[in-house]
Amino acid sequence: MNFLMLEYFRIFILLFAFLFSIGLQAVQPNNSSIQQNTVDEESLDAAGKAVKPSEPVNENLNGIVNEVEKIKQEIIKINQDLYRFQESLLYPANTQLAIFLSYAENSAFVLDSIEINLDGQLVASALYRDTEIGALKKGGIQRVYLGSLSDGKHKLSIQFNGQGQNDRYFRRKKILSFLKEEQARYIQLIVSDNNSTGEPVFKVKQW
Amino acid sequence: MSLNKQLLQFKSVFLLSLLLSVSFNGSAKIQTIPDELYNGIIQFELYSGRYFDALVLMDESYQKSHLVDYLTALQGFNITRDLPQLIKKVKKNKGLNDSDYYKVGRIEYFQENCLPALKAFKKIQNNSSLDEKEPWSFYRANCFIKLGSNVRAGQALNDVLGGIWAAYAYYNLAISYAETSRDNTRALGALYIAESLNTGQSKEAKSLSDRINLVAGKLYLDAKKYDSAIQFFKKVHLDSESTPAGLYLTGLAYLESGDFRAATQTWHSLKTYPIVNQNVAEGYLAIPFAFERSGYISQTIESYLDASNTFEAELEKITKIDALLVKHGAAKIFIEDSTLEGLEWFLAKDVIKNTMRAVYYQYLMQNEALYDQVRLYSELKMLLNSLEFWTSQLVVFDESLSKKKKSFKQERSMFDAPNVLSKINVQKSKIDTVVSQPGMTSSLSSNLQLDVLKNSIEVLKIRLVSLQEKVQKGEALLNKQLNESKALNQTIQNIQKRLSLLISKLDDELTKSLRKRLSTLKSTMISNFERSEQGRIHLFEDMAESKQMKKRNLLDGRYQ
Repeated sequence: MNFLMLEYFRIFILLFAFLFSIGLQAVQPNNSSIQQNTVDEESLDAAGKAVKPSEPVNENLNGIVNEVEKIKQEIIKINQDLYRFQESLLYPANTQLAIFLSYAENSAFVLDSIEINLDGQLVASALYRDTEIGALKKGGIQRVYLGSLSDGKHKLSIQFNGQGQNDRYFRRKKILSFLKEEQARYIQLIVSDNNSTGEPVFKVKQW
Repeated sequence: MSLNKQLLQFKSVFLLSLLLSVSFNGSAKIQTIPDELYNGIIQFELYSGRYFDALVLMDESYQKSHLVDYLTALQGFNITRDLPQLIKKVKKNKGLNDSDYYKVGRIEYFQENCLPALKAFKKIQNNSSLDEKEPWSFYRANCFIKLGSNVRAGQALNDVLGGIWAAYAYYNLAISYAETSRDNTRALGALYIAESLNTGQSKEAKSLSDRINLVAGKLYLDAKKYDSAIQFFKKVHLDSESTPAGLYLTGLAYLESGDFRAATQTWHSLKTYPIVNQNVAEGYLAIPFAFERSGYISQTIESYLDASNTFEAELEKITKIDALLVKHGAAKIFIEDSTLEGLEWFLAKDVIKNTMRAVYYQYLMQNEALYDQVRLYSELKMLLNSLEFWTSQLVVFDESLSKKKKSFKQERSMFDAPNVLSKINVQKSKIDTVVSQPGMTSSLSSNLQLDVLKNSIEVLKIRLVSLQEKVQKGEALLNKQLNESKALNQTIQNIQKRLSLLISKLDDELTKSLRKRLSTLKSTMISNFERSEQGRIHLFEDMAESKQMKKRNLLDGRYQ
């Protein structure tokens, strides 16, 4: 009897150990699942905000990557030629009108959109994403319009929509009359703030 | 003739000359714009992350004078072959400012060169003036972590006051502490700081918060502090990438604290998530385990059966997807918009409804090498689209130039320069007559803007001369432009062919890689299936064994 009891107990222990080991496999939050979570999600981060683990490189793929680099450079070159060619055909220097947008230093205004009317016709409009506002605030200048224009007097009307200080919403219009002569005309719109009122101010610089 | 009529005539001649002059202009380059504007528009593209556009805008002289920006754009557009040499060249330049050093450090960081990156960052004299102070601290901290110094990483983050970059950095530091030390106090401390810095409401901030809570919960679970662990796991949102892991670990914490019912319920809720996530699969396997420990044998058997059937069904899907990959290639199945007949079940694009394609795509893209390959594929497709756009543009230009050339001879014959000149002279003499009239006073002359008119007549004469030259050269110019258009078209066609070939090669490689990853998933799923089946078999064996024991006991009792 004692022997049998001992035998059953041994089998029971073995079975329990086996089941427990299966259970452990099932329930053990294997470090890898958490680990995988963190590493994989990091690698998905487009901003590259994570330490990348190195991967073995496939030879074929390596060849493709090298060829891709070459072709990318060729495509950049051909794009440069094509833009120049297009510009020479459609926007020759003496008829060219280009409108640029920039931010003055420390301007708090957050532009949502802009609409540009030339002689009563809507010629350009743009919606702004955070990255573009960030780029403007860091000193970037956006070319918002490029076109051809006859010499003479013209009227430009620009509508700015966005949020100023204290989340106040602003919709402001800036009107500019200008004379187009026999050379390219560049107009730069500058978003800045009024120091005393904190309201946005839109300045124009003509080149 | 009245003065008004004379002015009208003058205007018409002026407009005619203007229109003609517009048609015959030479080439204009973007570089004709002032440097300040030119540099600004390149900066705008760079800061907006549109590196291809920035590279297209940069001419050779800009590349030389703004080498750091050029390198940033090359690195951003993954043209890295010449980067090491160019970086060396940049470093020889002694006129670099803080912003340049930051950019160089960032490029080195993305090239996974941590030591040179840290050296470049160290050269920044006044870091408080940096626009990019947060990312600067982040890159430094990550480099120190990579080089094995958590202490230096912590020091690198000392100056940062807040923001998502700092929150990410502290999260990474916490992971590093958790990996390298048995004492979780530091890791938990870093997670606490990460959470307190992560105050944003963006999707990215929410995702980071979920990850922080998941890792904090896991650390408490490891320390056998189940209540605290559950509190953290419960903070993970139900629509997050971290949810399956969070739910699985919550169940585990309940199980460890003896609440089998709550554990089973939690794992049941995992069943709404895709099984390709191993946490969900573990949940399926954990349910029968919990039932068994609670003594519910029939539920245990049912759960094992349910798990086995689910794994088996998923294995069938994996086999089908693998066959689809072999037949159609990776691009058609996973990347491009496809409408292959009979494959609606897989190709449906509705990501919100968690379609099969989206689930598998998400699983496959967790592999960094695969992610990079798909990104490369997308870049090549973007380039191909840009070439297709230009091909269509050139067709339009070509047609327009050909029409202009055809009508040019006719228009030239109609353009009678001597006649226009005589008209201008007539207008001039009329203005002179008006000026010499006896009643003409200086104020009246000023009101009538006669000086302006006289000046305009002179300008018109000059323009007429230049227009005659342009008309003479016009045909040659049109021919030149037509030839240029043809040459550009030819170049585009050649590149298009090579690019299409490359895309096809990449598709083959991608297919191989995806199949490899699917085969790993298949092995995991087979292993899950086997674990479930083994569990069921052992349960039956156990039951049979216990019945026999019972029988023997009865017999033993009878004969004792």
